[in-house]
Amino acid sequence: MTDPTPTSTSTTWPWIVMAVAGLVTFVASMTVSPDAVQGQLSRIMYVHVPSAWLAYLAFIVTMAASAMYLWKRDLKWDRRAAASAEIGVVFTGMALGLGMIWAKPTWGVWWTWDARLTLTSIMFFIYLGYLALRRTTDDLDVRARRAAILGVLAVVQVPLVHFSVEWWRTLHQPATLLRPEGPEMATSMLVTLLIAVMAFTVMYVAMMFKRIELARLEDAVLIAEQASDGAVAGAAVTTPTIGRGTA
Amino acid sequence: MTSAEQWNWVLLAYGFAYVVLVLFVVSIGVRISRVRARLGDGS
Repeated sequence: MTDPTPTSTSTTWPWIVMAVAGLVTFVASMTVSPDAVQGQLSRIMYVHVPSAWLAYLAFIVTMAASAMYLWKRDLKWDRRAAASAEIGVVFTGMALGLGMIWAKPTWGVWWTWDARLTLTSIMFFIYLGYLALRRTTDDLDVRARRAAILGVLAVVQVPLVHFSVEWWRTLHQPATLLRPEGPEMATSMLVTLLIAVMAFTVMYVAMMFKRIELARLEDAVLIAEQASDGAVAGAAVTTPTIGRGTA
Repeated sequence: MTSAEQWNWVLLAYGFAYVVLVLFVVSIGVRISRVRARLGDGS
C-alpha cells in the first residue's frame, strides 16, 4: 500500500486541453459535408463513435490498472482504475444517449432490444456496479482488492459489445473504424471522424489527470479521518478508574 | 425529413453530449475544491 501524497498545487493545463479538444471536435464535425444518405444526421456520428471508443479504452485501462494493482498491491493503480472506470461510465452513458437520439429519426424508435444496444446498457450497469462496489467499504486495501477483481472480470463486456454486430443479427450498423477490412467512408468524413476520435482521446487523458488527482486527495482525506477516529477511539477505550477510599 | 428537421436532431445530440461533458468536468473540479478545503481544515 502506498500512501497518497496530495500535490500542494493543482495543474491547470488539463482544463484547457479538455476545452480545446471539445472545441476542435465541434468545429470539425459542423464544417464537414453531410452524408449523401443520412444528410445532416450523419454529424451525430462524430460524437457517438468517439464516445463508444472512449468507453472501450477507459474500461481496458481499468482492467490493466486493476491487474497491476493485484500484482503490485500499490494503491496508485487502484486510483487509476477507479478514475478510468468513472470516465468510462460517463462516455458509455453518452454513447447510449447519443445512439438513442440518432435512432429516433433513422430507425423510428428511441430504443430497441438489439444485441449491441442491450450489451452496451449491460456494460453501463456493470461499471455502475463497479463504482457502487467501491463505496461499500472505507478500508482502502479491501476496496482496492474487490474493485480490482471486478475490474479485471468486467472487461469481457468490451469484446462482447464490439463484436455483437458481427455475432448476432442486429439493427445496429457494423463497426465504422475498427473493422478487419478497414474503414469504408468518404475521405473527408473519415478524416473528420479520426480528428474527433483523437480529440476525445486527448480529452480522456486530460480527464484522467484531474480524476486521479481527485482520487489521491479523497484517499488522503479518508486516511486522515481514520487516523483521527483512531485517536478518539483510543482515548474512549481507556480503562475507567474507580476511586477507592474516598467515600 | 427536411434538412432543418435533421439539424434539430443534430443540435439535440450535441447539446446533450456537451452538457454531459461540461457537468462531468465541473463535478471533478468541484469535488477537488471540496476535498482540498477539507484537507486544509485539517478534518
